Amino acid sequence: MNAEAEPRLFATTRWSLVLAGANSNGDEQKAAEALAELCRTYWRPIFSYVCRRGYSSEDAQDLTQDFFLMILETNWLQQADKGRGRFRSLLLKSLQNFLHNVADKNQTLKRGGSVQFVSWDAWMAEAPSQLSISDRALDALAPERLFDLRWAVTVVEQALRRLREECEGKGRLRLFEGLRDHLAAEHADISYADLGIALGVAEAVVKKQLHNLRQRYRWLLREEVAHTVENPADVDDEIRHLCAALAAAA
Amino acid sequence: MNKVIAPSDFVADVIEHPTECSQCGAITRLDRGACINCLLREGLAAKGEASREAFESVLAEANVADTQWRLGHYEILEEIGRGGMGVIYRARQQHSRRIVAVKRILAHEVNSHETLARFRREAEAVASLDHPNILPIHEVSESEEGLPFFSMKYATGGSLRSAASALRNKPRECVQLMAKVARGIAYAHGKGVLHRDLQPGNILLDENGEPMVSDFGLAKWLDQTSEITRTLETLGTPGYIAPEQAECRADKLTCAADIYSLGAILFYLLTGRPPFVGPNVLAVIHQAAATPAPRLRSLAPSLDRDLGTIVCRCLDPDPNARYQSAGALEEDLDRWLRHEPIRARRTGVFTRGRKWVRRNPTSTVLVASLVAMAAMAGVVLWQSQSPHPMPAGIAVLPFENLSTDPENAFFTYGVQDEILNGLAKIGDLKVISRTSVMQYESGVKRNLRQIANELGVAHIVEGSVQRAGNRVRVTAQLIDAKTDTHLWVERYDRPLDDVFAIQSDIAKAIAGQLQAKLSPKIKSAIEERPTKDLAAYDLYVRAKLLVMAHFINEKNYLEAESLLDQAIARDSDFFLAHCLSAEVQSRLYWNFDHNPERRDLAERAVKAAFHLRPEAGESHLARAQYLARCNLDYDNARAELALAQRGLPNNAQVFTLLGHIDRLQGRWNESVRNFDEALELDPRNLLTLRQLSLAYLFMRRLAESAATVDRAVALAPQDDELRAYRASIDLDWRADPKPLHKTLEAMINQNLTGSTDWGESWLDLALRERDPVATGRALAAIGDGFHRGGLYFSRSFMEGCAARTFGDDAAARRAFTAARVEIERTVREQPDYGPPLCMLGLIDAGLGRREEAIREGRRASELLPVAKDAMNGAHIMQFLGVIYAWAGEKDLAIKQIAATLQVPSLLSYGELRLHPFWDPLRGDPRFENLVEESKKPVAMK
Repeated sequence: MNAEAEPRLFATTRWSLVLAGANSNGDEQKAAEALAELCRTYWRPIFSYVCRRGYSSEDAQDLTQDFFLMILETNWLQQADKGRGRFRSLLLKSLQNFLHNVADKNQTLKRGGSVQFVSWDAWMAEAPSQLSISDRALDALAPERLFDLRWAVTVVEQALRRLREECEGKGRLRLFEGLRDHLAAEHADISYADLGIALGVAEAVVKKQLHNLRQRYRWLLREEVAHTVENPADVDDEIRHLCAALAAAA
Repeated sequence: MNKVIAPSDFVADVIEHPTECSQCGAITRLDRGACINCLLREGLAAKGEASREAFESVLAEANVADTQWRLGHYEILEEIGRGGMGVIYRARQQHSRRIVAVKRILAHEVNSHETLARFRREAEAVASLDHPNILPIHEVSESEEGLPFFSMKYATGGSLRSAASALRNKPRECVQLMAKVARGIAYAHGKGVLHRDLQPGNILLDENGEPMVSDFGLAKWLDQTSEITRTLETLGTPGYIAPEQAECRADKLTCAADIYSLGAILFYLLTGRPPFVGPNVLAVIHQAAATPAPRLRSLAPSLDRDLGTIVCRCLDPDPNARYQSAGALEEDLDRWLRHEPIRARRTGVFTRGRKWVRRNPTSTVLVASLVAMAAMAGVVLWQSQSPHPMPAGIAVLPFENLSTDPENAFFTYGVQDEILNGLAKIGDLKVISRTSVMQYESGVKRNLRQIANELGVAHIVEGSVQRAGNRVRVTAQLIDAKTDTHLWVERYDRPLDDVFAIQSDIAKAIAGQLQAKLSPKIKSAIEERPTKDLAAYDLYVRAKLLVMAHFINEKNYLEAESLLDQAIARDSDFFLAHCLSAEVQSRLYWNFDHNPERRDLAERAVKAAFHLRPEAGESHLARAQYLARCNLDYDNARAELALAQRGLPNNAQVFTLLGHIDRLQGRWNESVRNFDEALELDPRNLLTLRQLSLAYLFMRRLAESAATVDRAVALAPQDDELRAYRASIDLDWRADPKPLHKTLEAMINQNLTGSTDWGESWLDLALRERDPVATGRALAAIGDGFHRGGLYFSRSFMEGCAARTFGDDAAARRAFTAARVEIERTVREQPDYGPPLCMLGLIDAGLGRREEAIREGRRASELLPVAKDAMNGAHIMQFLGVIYAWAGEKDLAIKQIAATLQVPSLLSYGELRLHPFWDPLRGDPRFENLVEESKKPVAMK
């Protein structure tokens, strides 16, 4: 990707909206919506992290909700040390502080009953994680590594979800289903002929469509990542950081 | 979703390490197998903009519109599962618009007779079943191209596998679900259908979370004898199938096979893993047949004992010993849910009797009737015991020192310790040992619920101590950890001299609160004052704290010895001080100071204890420690431990010592059980966890060994040495040096000149990696040498091994010659001790003195056979193999390895595969076979 082209294309990423809102030179309403959207997308890394810190899953659910309420209802960013940070690292840092404070006070914040950021059941149903890794490998990860790993998975899942939606919108879900497993495969590992037979089209069509899907997927992935950084030039760095988190689980 | 035996199920459950991505080596994958790392890296390869418009216009060119995608009158929406023989889609029925699941056979499988048979079998089996907990089939049909398919209810809740993580730590919900599944299976059995492949991926959840059994692809009718070909694929899912499914003919299978699977699924839901895991299918099946399933509570200590009993009953390797029907299992699960006594009993005398019958078939008929009677008696016995309250776990956390003088910390510790000791004498209670509770510091806010969870207890005692002049104030409170409510709070304000009375009052009050029965004998034991001299008590407490440190350290022990001497000088009738002194002296003798005078000191301390209180459990424990550690008199030590246990029902040390003795005497399974019992009472004891992991290591149950060390690492994440030990298990397990390499590298970078604790591991790794530079550096880090399994590996011997490995014969000869001078002296001093003689044999083999080497090695093995010492004896067996290999006696070496692999030893796959010791044998197919063989656990006789 041409780095110079990016500022224009990713100019209004969610995280930049949030930061602009906090600097009081942006639209506060938009900033709040963007932040809520980000939280909704990235709840699972938070939840996993809290669980790993030794809370039962009920407590972790409560704490995750409380944490989101805290950052959405208070002027979190003004209090947080922004320091040009990325959304991911700032969120993790805030989460660590939050849990530290909770532990300090030795209290589970008691919410007023019905106040929830989002219905937990809806959350679980809406976003079943597709991560497949042994529990042992997961258990061996430090909480921070687990957070990053879950983050990486969320990014990929988001991009795939959007790609799927776009295909479905054009009545090409079958094509997506047929080719999705090959988005990252090397050319030598793909049997275009078999795929062609399965889809009932010529080999050349498979090649062209896979290329097309791959191009779009890459773009969507970058866009997903761009939403979480302030400066679009940081997208590559962020992807590399997440790849490193995955390597640590090997 | 409904799945045929999906490869991904194997990955998630059986193979602990999912297969690595062939492109990048990462192991994190999406459900469908795509590598997440590769998918992420794609983002770095983006070239130019890919706008939605451009994308969609190319997309529209493809003539694969979704409307054309049909099976019969079902519109296919998406693929939701795939296995060896079929694909499952979410689909929409054309007219009703109803969403269903459609399963079709894979196009290239259509001509396979077997697949078609299985496919038909499933359809027919399910069509004959109508039960709310069995996934119904709507229609069986064929597509236009002649592909058979059928439609089923679409389960929106996914499978138990995907729900498992949300269910973890919710044992009640798990049990509720499994009771329903058992109901469905009981119904199927009633209709004559056996499922044979129950596993978490096959239990689906509907929109209300109700479980439904699916995938009857391997089902069979109980009254049918015909059988499809048995291949690995048609065997069922490893980790969940009953051991007899691999062994006996399928038409001999009974309902008990499904009951086993139900138990294995419950095990998985409660602990996060199936009962047996291993590197491949056969290893898992082999384990299930050869070894008893691990105890539920060894993996999840906070779980209720009864639940462990139920699961254990399902997983019995003997089908006849399991629940007699799925209905009986369901009933017991329901009883558990209603807090009623369950019918299954814990493994005990009865089970051992049954196992004996199996081993001694000639007397089976006579004994069978006795067993039947025993079974009835067992039920009666159980029922008569049932109104009795179950043991309630309790933990006495360190008390807070509120005195101004920090020196009073020891006094405070003593108060807590005495209360703990008093409670621990009550057999009705389960009292956590001090090693596990002392890690929870006082004076900071503690999360009691979490602590209770970690220790597997329901109740917690907290308190504080304030000492001022001649007065002492003690507060204590008993807390129900689940609800965080105080059950009892009391404050005592009394003269200092009354402090022991306060402690026994507190212990008795707590026992009363928990409705534990106090016999007059226990009551008087609790009321006994340890000493009249508070200063002596203070000295004793200091000594005790030193002895309790996690790792045995000579300096601590010598300091404890001196403190105890002072305490006894002040009060020669101080019973507990004599007992502790016996422990300290025995340990010093065993670990550091093999001197007869030391042994006499130990004996004297034991005698003093017996003189004061011949009946006390502590006296018997002290004598057992002396007998085992100083006299190697294991049988009598065992007898003393049995007596000790009566007075000290909650003493983890009794079980740990039993575990040690079992191990030395080659009773490996018993040893594991005793270490498990010890951990039940002392769940955070790192030493015991290590001992348990070592037992598993010898038995080559490496997954369990690793899991045990993982538990220890979670307790002490900063412990480098422990992490290195964990990584070295990977080296033995999978011959994978990477984890150890990584761990040691980080440690070495931090501290090159410091501790040599890990020098031995480093050297071992460097040799296995054939890295001459690292070998040289590691040699410098081992000091004069190290002990391993009774053998002393001197620095010069290891230098010889290194030179040999890297082909420097002259240097090897020089080093071995130097090593020989050292070892010869030891052999002269202890001519009848096997280990040094074995070492001499190794050195002579290294020097090419073939005949001497073999003679020495064989003599060593005769002097210390496995029958005499199951651990050190196994080491000598192993190194006799090396002697043969170095002496060029290939046939003998191979025979020796085969014999060593028959018994528990430290000879592992990683060692055989990588260690230069075995280089002379490489390439010999018999050796390579043995290397493969070493992946399997030892078959326990």
